[in-house]
Amino acid sequence: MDFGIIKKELVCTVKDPAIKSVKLYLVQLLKLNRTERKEYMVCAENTLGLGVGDYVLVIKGSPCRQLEGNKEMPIDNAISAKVDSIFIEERYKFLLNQV
Amino acid sequence: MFLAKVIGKTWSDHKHYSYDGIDIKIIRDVNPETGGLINKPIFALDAIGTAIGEIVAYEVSAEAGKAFEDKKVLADATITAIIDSVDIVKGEGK
Repeated sequence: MDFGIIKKELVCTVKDPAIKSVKLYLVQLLKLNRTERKEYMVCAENTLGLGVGDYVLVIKGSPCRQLEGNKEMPIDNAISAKVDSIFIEERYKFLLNQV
Repeated sequence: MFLAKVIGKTWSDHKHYSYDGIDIKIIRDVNPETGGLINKPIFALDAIGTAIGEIVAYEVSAEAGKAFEDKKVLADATITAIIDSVDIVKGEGK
């Protein structure tokens, strides 16, 4: 899983019928100290109710198919949680500036 | 499966319904020969209850969601074992 911030909400009038129930967001990935990385991805999400500026966790790859339980969906990236805070232990604080 | 070290944790109130009662930890890959940290930090679900500073094994991709018995969990990285020690004979396998 990766850490990012919601930059835009995407509006689509024409969608595959299988993903009619999900909303799409544009997410920019972040470092652990919340500075931006130059990586963007389009993520699907349906139950959390998120907005622009929320810090989120994104999931990549085939596990995203089960976003809605047993229903299979053609999705590759999904948002799984809204992050309130991150704790890094004192001795690993130097990692915040890396990567 | 990969070798990693737990370096932190996250709090979140608002999460996918399959995450109830599951912790989300921050881990980083470990170089088994030197013990140094490599690659980017990863957020992983915790299936066994690990503490910060421990060396663990985690799995990625679709199998990660199957670590929680009969529960179907939306996950692409899950911590599945705590590593006590790593034995490597140096210089072999080259």
